[in-house]
Amino acid sequence: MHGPVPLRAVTIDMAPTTSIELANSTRPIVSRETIASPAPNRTRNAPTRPPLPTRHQPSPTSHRLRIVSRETFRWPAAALAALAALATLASACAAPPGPRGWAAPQPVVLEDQDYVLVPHKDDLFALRGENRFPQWQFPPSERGLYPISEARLGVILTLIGELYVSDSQKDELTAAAERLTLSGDSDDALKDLLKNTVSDEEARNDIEDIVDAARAIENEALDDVDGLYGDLGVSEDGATVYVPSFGGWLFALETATGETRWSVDFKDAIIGGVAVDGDMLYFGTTGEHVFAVDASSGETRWTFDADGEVWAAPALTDDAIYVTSMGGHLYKLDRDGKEQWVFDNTGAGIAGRATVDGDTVYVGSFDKKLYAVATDDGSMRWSFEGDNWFWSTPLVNGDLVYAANLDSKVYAVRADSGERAWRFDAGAPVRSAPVIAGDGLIVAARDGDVHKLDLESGQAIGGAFPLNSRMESDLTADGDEVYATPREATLFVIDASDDLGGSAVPLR
Amino acid sequence: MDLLIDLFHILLVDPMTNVLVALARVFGGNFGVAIIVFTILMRIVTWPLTAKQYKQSRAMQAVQPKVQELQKKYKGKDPKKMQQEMMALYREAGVNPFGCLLPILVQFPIWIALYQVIRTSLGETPESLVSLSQQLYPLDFVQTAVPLDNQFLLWNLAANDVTFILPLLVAVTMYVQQKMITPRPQTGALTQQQLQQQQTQQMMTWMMPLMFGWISTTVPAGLSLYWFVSNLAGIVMQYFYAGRRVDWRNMLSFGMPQAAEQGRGAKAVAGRAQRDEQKRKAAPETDEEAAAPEGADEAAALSRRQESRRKRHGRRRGKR
Repeated sequence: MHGPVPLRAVTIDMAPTTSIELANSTRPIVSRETIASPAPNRTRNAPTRPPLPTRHQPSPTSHRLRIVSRETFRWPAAALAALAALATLASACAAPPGPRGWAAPQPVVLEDQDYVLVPHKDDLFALRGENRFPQWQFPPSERGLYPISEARLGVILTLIGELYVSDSQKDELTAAAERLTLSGDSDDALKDLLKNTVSDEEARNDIEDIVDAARAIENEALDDVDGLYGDLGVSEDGATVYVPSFGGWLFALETATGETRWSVDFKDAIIGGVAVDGDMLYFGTTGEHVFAVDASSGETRWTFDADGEVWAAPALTDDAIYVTSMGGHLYKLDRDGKEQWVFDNTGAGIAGRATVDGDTVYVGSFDKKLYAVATDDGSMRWSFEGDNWFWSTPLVNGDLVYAANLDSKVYAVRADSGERAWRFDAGAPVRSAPVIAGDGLIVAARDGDVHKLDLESGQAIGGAFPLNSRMESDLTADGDEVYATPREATLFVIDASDDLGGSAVPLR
Repeated sequence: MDLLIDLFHILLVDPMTNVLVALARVFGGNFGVAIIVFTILMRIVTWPLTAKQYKQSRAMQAVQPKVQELQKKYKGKDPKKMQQEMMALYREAGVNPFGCLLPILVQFPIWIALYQVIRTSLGETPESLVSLSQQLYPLDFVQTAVPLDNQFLLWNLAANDVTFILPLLVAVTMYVQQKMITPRPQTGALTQQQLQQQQTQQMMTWMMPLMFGWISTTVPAGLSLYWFVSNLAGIVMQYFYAGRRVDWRNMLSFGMPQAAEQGRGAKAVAGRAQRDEQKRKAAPETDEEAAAPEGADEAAALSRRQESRRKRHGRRRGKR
């Protein structure tokens, strides 16, 4: 992991007893001056000198580590070597982590059943709302029981439907296909049945190839999830949840079971979430594209090329889509993906999602500024500067815009003028987007402390609620409850109705 | 431990991160160019350590014949005496037995910091970008330089190199670099220990490149680019440091040394010594450092160095 320091085999020829040994000598170590110019009467053969002890003659007292020999011992060298070794160890421990994922929890109501979908790292856990009891996990822990996706099964069933076999044989084949799972020998039954019933070898081979390919692709998709950063999308009826992954796959899962409806590889990481509007999904990738796809099949309807990686979910209004890019641009697109205007006054990248309120869109940038931009023509209304990057999504409440900054502050800015109303020092950088719950502004700092602030004054209400783990994911408000998933695999359900309090649900 | 990590970041990682980001901004946001310039700068900054390492390696090579003589002389008897004489020999030749290792050890934290800096600055994951925001100094020039342009020539520097070109370049340049600092295998009569030592050296010359080549396929291309440029800079520095003594023909020798027949080996050594002697007569040496003794003529060169040292020490003592 270190750099290419040229290494070579260095053999230091020394007798074994002199490399490193424990010595029980009580004599003082000779000074550096003595080493530089040893006195003639202190030669190795001096008769008054006691014999050097060896490892074969250990003494129970006064052990001291002696390196090589007393004459060549160098404190600075030994200290430097020790420091270097320690620093190496320390730096190895502090190596940057791989993708961890920070998608926010998502409450879903499905046919009067409450669910809480909790992404953590590269897993998605579905818990029952009332008792937080685990329902399913994605990717599944047992692929031998996990069916192939509806979409790919549909292709196989279509091919079976086109076979020249009797209806009863088709039914048998269909039943065998519907039992296909991602691993195990479920495909053997179908293949055996095909062999016994289908005489057309070409048609039989086609189906077998499709089955093998479907299983391989879906296993690959599950292996490539990598991390879940983007907020989940949920269909209007709550029956389908759309899961964007850092590995570039977008999954549509059945909310009740966690089974895959369809999965599509969009090649580049999806860091921002999915915006759902009826039968369309909108999202961006690090491949500098914005996609509009069919919610029922994952088929791409249109794409838009941005000038940089897209790290945030688009913000939707009735007639427009607002997209931010790491190229520092804010785009307004129409519903067909045509650019209406572009705001490019920022001096650095934009990683956060825009917030639209009335005729103004608010967005924070890595140039340390929060911008208010007119929705009709993309002109800048005002900008407000913090001391570090604005990353999280701004939140508008009445005439105040709340924006968290990585300078550890949360700012409340007047929506009409861009003047600061108040600021709150959270004591650590704030990446998580604030939410409103229990008539207070709930803010989670990166050190894991969650604060409740007065909406008008910014004063802290009660003490901080500690998550005791690094917190970078967004919070989700559900009435007076707030869901938080820090780096530790735990869902915190925080009651914000009064002073903050809550419970922890271990996920793993 | 936390204190150590904090110190490591404050003293090494943070300053290096800011310099790299500033360089990227200077070069129009191109992170690839910034990595190249930064790697070369780091090579220059750490040159005194590298030079010391080269020097100690050479001195260690030069003193080996004498060491082996001592080992033969004291084989199986009085290891303490042998050790003392060996230490005296090292001291007189100006060799610190740890001299080769110490510069490497000191450079380790620097290289590892660099590794972290590149990974963090690349914004490989969103988390690393959050970390980067905390590492940048509160100067607009660096704070607003993000994101950096990860695309450089064929490569997305934040992703693995799918072309396998950079891993190949890393392996090849590392091989050349290893070959340059590994002495040519002796062809004379070799003891078992010498043979073993040479075999280890030869193995290292291809094991390390293979290992780094493989690692390069698994890390972001930005790191591979850094390794490649670092190796290239190392080769250039070694070339200018070692001058014409670089044995380019040795680059293509992959084989392991074999124990030569005693008589033939002795003849080879004698013949080589004779040729070296003739060369010396034909072109008298002017720079003692520039002519690294190798093989049979190492002992002679060592004696001359020792004599020279004694004279210098004598003069110093006389002054006192």
